[in-house]
This record gives sequence, C-alpha cells and structure tokens, in this order.
Amino acid sequence: MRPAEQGRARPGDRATGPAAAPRHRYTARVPLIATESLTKRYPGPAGGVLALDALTVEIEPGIVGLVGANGAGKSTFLRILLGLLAPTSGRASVLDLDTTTQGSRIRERVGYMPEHDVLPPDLTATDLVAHLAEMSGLPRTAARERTADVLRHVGLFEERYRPIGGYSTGMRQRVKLAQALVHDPRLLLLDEPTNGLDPSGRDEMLDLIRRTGTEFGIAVLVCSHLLGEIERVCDHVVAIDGGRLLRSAPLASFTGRTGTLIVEVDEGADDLAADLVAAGFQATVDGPRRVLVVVQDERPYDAIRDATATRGLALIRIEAARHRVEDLFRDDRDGEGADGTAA
Amino acid sequence: MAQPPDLVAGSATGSIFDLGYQGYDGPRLGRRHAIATLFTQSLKWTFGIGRGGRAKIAPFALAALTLLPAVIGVGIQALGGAAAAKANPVTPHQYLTVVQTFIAFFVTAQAPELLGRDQRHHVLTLYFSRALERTDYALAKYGALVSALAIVLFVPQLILLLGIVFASIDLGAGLGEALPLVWPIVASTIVAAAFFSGVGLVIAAFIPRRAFAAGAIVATFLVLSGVVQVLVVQGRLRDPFRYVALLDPYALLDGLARTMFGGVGGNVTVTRSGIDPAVFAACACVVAVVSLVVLIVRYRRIEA
Repeated sequence: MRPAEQGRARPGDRATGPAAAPRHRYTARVPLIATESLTKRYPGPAGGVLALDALTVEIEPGIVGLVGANGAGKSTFLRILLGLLAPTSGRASVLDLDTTTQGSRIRERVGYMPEHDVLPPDLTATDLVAHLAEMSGLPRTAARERTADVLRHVGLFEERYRPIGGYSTGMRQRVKLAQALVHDPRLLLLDEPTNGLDPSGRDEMLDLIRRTGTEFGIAVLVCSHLLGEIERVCDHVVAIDGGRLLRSAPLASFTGRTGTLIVEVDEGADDLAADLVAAGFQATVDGPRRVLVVVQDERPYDAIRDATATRGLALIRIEAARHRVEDLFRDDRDGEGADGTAA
Repeated sequence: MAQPPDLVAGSATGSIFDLGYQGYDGPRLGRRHAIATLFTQSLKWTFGIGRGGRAKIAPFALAALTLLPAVIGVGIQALGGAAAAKANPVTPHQYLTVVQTFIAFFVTAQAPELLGRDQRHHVLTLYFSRALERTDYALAKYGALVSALAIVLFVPQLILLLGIVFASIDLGAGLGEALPLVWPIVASTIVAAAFFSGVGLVIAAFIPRRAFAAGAIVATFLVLSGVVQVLVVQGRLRDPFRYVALLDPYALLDGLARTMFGGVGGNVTVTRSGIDPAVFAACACVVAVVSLVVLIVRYRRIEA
C-alpha cells in the first residue's frame, strides 16, 4: 500500500481564506475501503452472472484508480460500497462502517457520481444540487451556499440558473460532480467521470478530479476503463478483471523503470548489440533500429557511447523503458494469446 | 457558512477552480431532515410551486372546482331559506361524493408528476446514494400527495362548516350543529385522500411514462367504477359476486361518507349491492394502507 502522506492536502495549495489550512480528515491507519472475499452474483439463467468474485482489497486515502475492462465489476463494486446493493457473500466496509448495516451513515459522508445520465432536464443546476444537498442532510441555507460554491468550483457559474435539459455533455458531467461534492464528503466515488467528453472536456474533468483529491483533502476513488486517465490522475491503482483483483499497488510501481534501456540508432543495430554482448552486457536486437540493454548500473551508458562512437553509428536516443498499466492486462491475458505479443 | 470576501462571482467565467475549496463543518441534520425536505418539496411540487406557470394550472383549477360546490352550498343555505336548506345538495355529508370526479382528476394529474420524473431520468440513483433510505422516499411522496389532496378537500368543507355556523339563528345553535361534523369530516377526508392518492401513486410507480400513468389512473377510477356499477345494478349478482361492488372506488368513498356521517348516500353501487357501508369504509382504509405497503416494496426493489 501507498505511504499515507501521498494525496494529502498540502499546505499553501489553496489560494483563499481561513479554510486554506490543510485538512487532515482521514487517519492513515484506518483503510478507507476494505473488502473481504466480496462476491456478487446477479441471478439469471445458468447460474447468473458473477460480477465480483471473492474480491479482497484494502484501499487507503488518496486518489485511487479502479481500473478494469467494461464488465469487470467496477460499477457493482461501487454500488456495494454505497450500500445500494447487497453482496452475495463476503463483506465490505467504507470509512470503517459496514456497507450492509450502516449504508445510510456511509452515504451521508460519501459523494457518488454515477456513470449514466441521472439529471432531470426541467430543473436548473442550482435547484437540483441544492435539493440534493438537503437530501444529504444539510440545512437549507447551507445547502444553497454550498451549491453556489461547488457549482463555481466545477466551472458552472454563469449557467447555473438554466434548466439542465439545455446543457452539453460536459456541463452535465460537471453537475454530476457538483452534486457529489456539495455535502463535502470524505470520500468521492466517481464512475467513469469522463464518459462522453471531448478531449478538452476530458482534460478539465481530470484536472478537477486531481485537484479534488489534492487540494480539497477528499479521498477519491475513480473508476475507469481508460488506463491513460488513471495514469494521469491517480497515485494508487486497483486493477480488477472478471470480478477478481489483479493487482493493487502505487501507480509508480506500474509505470516505473523496468531496468531496460532502449537504444535507438539510425542503422547498425545488430553490430551495436554484438559489441555490447562482447563487452559483457545483456543486449538484444529489437527491430532494425532498436537495441534493448539490461542495466544494473551506469556502465552500459559508457559502453553504448563508446560502441556507437567507434562504429560511427548515428545514435538517435537512449531511453529507460517503462512499465505501462496496460502491461498488467496484457500479462494476464497471455494465455489467451490473441496477438502473440508476450511481454 | 461565512463567505470569504474574495469569492468574486464574475471571475469564474469559463475557468475551473480559480478559488479555493471550502469545507463544510456546519450541522448535518441527516435522514430526518432529508425526509422532511423531500416531503415539503413534493407537496409544493403537487401545487406547481417552483415549477413555472403551466404546472400550476391543473392543481389550482381542480382546487377551484372542488371549492365551487361548497360555495354554492353555502349560498343556498344563506339565501334560499329553510325549504331550500333542507333540499340542499351540498352538505358536509355528501361533499366528498359530490367532488369525487375532481379528486380522481387531481390524483391523475399529480401522482405521475410526483414519481414519474425521478424514474424516467434515473434521478432515484442520486436520491438513494444519499442519507435518504428507499422507504423514506416512498413515505415522503405518499405523505405529500395525501396532504395535498387533504388540503384541497379541507378548505371547501371548512367553508361549508362556516356557512352552517353563520346561517344559523344564533352562534350557539350554529356551533352546536357544526361541531359534531368536524370529526367525521377530518376522518373521512384523510381516509379518502390516502385511498385515492395511494391507488394513484402505486399505478404511477409502475408506469414511469407520465401520459400512460395518467391514462391508467383515470381508467382505474372512472372505468372501474362505471363497469362495477353496471354489473351491480344490471347484473342481479348472487352472493359472493355482489362483493364485486367493493372494487368501485366511488362506492368505497360513498360507503366511507355514510359510515362517518351516518344516513344515506347517493351511490347506486353501495345501495344496490346491499353490503353494509361500513364494509366499504373498511375497504377504503385497507386499500390506503396496502397501497402504501406496495409503494414501499416497489421502491425497495426498484433498480437505481
């Protein structure tokens, strides 16, 4: 698991007012979310559909990405965490509260942004969000004030008195985020928050999520099937596939250096590899212009420099090869071997 | 919550987060506040308050129509003299049956409004992911429509009572005549409101599309009562079958009024079926309670 310091509110991050002090609202030791052999089977023909299969995971505060293909069980997982859905077996707790028995108390302190369109077209953003704030238990005046605040934070200030029916997809997504934030939750559950957004809308939404997690001091669990998004905003990744946990680890361990250098030359990759092997390094040719060199220390860099200089090769770049989050799924599916690219 | 002075509204144009985020450390009133808010908001919604001009037409027109018989009744009482007062068609005894069609239309217009939108646009997901429980939602909506209908029905009956008091020779006699009517009016109105609202809401809860729901509700009230009346009056039904009369919503209402006020009522189904009016009244209470239970079960199971 991640060190607890990450994802915390940082002093001096926020521009304004007395609330600029960092908010340490969760303790490091208590996991934000903990599940134990969590299983959910939807009834149906042939034994039904197994959405979650004995999922055991602990998630600590920060910005956590829950990644998996469509149908991996992400939405089911969120709905169980909210106490909206009862697990078939196993148990789950959020903020140290049991999801099956204390759902109402969990929902009071958790904000949920659903994946699909859930907005009534005839209400204005202000009316809807203020009403939902009251549904979360906020008094009327506080609900109104926080609604204005939160709508401004998500970038909907001018339009907030217009009916939602006339909003663009991007604006709707912002309303959905605003209603999840309006009661100042301790944990935000976001289900595919960039669904249907264009590239710039996507950037803005991801930035918003990033800042929610860092500046607001709110823990965030982002569900997505888009690995690129998870890589951009999260500092911890939980990957699930077929309702089972693939891996839960800090993002850095997914994308860190692999201990391999990629050396790209204009031509003569075979000669370069041969020279490096002769010098006692592990080097393999990867395509006509690339050589992969295993590095443990600084020595290969000198050897590469000398070899290219001696042979007069045009060195294009030397780059540390990195893991990518995709590798996780590729490794897992090697057995199915669709394209034969074993990692 | 105090607003820091540097939160300048105009500066937010087109950009996100140029201002710091404020936490909320104020009171959290929880589930009970959520229920109370949903109830009052739905009650206002029923009358079109907060919904723009067109939404107010139906509820206020129907409220005016329910008021009309009471005003006419008081007019006859006041101006027509003793003979007219005796033949007065609009007395508290018969008031509910006089306006029964307006009650049906009020429920037809408002029950789908209260439930349909949240289902059609999946807003329930946003409600159920908050402090509110599913049962609370059903209770608040049921309470709102029952209260709205009760308000619509109480006002004219209050006018009828005042008419009785002030048309009398002296205040004492007027009060003596009016006060015994208060309890039957309150009880029969609440049961009638709960019964009609309950049936309407259950139908609306299963049919999210507003037009279809309204059609189904109006069919239940008008067509069912018509068909049952024909069966009972023309059918010469034998013993177990004459209880089909209990399916007629208007017969239940008439039986309720007869039971609460005593005396005779005008509904043919009740008279011709030969069943004790108290059975109709009991049936109305049962339907009111059962429809609430069905509504709660529906919302516990509904996907959101």
